[in-house]
Amino acid sequence: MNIIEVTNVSKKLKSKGKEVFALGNVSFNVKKGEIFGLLGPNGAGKTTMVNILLNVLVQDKGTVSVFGKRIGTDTLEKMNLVSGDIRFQWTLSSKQILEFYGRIYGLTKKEREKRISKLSKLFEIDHFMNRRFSYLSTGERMRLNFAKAMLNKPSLLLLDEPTLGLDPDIAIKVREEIKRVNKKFGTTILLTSHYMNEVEQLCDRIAFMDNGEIAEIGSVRKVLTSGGLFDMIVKVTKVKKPLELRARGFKIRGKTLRKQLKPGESLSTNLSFLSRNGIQVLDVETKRPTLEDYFVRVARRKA
Amino acid sequence: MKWYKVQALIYREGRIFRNAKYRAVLFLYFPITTIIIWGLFSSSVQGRALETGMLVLIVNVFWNFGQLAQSSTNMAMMDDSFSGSLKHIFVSGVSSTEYILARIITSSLLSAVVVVLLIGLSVYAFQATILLANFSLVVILTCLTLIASIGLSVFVAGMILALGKEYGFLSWSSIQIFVLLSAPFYSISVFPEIIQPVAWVMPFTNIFEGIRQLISAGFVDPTLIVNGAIISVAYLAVSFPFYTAVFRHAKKNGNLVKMGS
Ligand SMILES: Nc1ncnc2c1ncn2[C@@H]1O[C@H](COP(=O)(O)OP(=O)(O)OP(=O)(O)O)[C@@H](O)[C@H]1O
Ligand SMILES: [Mg+2]
Repeated sequence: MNIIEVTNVSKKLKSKGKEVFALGNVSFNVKKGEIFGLLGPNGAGKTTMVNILLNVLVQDKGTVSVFGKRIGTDTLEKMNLVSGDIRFQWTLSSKQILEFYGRIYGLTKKEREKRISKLSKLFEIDHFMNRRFSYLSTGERMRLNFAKAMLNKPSLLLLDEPTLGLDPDIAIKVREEIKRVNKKFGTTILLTSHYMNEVEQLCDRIAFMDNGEIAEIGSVRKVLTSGGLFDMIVKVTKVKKPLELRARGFKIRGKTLRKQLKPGESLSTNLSFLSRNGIQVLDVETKRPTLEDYFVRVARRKA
Repeated sequence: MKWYKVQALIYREGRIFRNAKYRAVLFLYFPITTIIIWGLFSSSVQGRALETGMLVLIVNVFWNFGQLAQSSTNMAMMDDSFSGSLKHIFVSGVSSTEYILARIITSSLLSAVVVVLLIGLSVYAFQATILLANFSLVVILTCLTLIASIGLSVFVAGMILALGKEYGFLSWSSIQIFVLLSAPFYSISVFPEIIQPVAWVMPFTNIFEGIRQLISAGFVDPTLIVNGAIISVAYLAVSFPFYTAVFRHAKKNGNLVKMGS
């Protein structure tokens, strides 16, 4: 069953009189219990898509449904948001903020007490419960945000750059928590991120966005190999016939040769080409592309 | 509309009020010092211009009350906007109506406390006993002022959403032009003829006229009250649909997102 269905969504926004093409014909589905990643460079349209799902922005064209329904206040009651640029009212304490959201989600006094104390232990916010929001550090704000986001036991959690600005060790904890919430409660999660390793680690499927459009969608593996490219790196004793090597697509750096293999192109034909030319091979290494490579490639294509 | 969400927002307002010192300044410091200034003025001109002194004092009581009831609603919204917490409120399934309603209820309650203080101060420190002698009239005028101010606050909330966050200054500045055109200390006839019809439909015109009449003649023409009531309610009736329409539109043009973060 699809928890999120986005079909042919387009959105233009005006900024200082100029039209910005924020989303163009975006379609994707997120299945129940899945962790789905929206990945892409700055300005790709990730937050815009999240805002539409949160009903604070309405698309120009296309349809969006959550839990099989049109989005509205009743779908929002079963969702929640954690966002990297999270800000709550600065004069309120952590406790007052949780108390407020507990009431917004219609929890009784007993339920609030129970859940707030449980969540404050889980996210280690116990020691700053009475501290004002404006005094909290980035990591503390994020943990508070996670606690708030779990108050209504959401069936769908939207995470907009949830590890933005966090220390590596806290980011690891947050990722573990995301995985745990997903496993334990079967919470469906839509995650946007800049961090490739985060997405590779967490997501079942990803959509790579660029310029408001989805460039590629599928499993991490599928997106990575969509270009089919991977690199072979060969260390040799001595470089001979550099012209022939270059003609065949090798890049030469000292005693290292590097070549990007096309889909279906085999390693062995390249190695036999080398030995035919009397080049002695010391070491061969292949490098599967990472999302990072993919990211850089898309960014370069854009520039 | 879900009442517990409105209650939750009111709870939050209460906590913010307690935690943020400037809110107390907004609600108490300015109105009370203003009334003391004009109260002292009124006492000092007693021999020469008793009526003028009273007029300035009592009009200021209502002016401050109206201004407070309107601006506190709108400034609370701007506070949410500038602190970046607005988006998170709407994302939690709060509707535009629940949001503004909670604002109106808190502002009205707090302003009501303040107006009682201001009237008490005028009566006991500055001999505005006329307010006690005509207590039921004063209550009616207070209610009309409140309704008109709520109408204005909803209208201003809509204007800010329509124009964008950078027009947040309307929250504290817009009341001034409405008071000017509502003819607080003078009769409408001082305006050029083309402005007079506009002045008649201003939110506080009938209320101020009523106060002037009360002070000079000792009674208030019932038609002023009826007209005042019609205009106050009309403001409310027009501003609500305007606000909801603008809110819906702000989701389309991205203004709500910009306001919220
Ligand atoms: N309210 C708005 N009004 C005008 N333009 C906007 C608005 N919100 C976003 N945009 C523009 O739409 C485009 C997409 O922005 P969006 O925030 O969705 O990108 P993003 O993928 O989340 O980027 P980042 O990784 O930097 O967070 C950008 O060009 C942005 O400037
Ligand atoms: Mg973003």
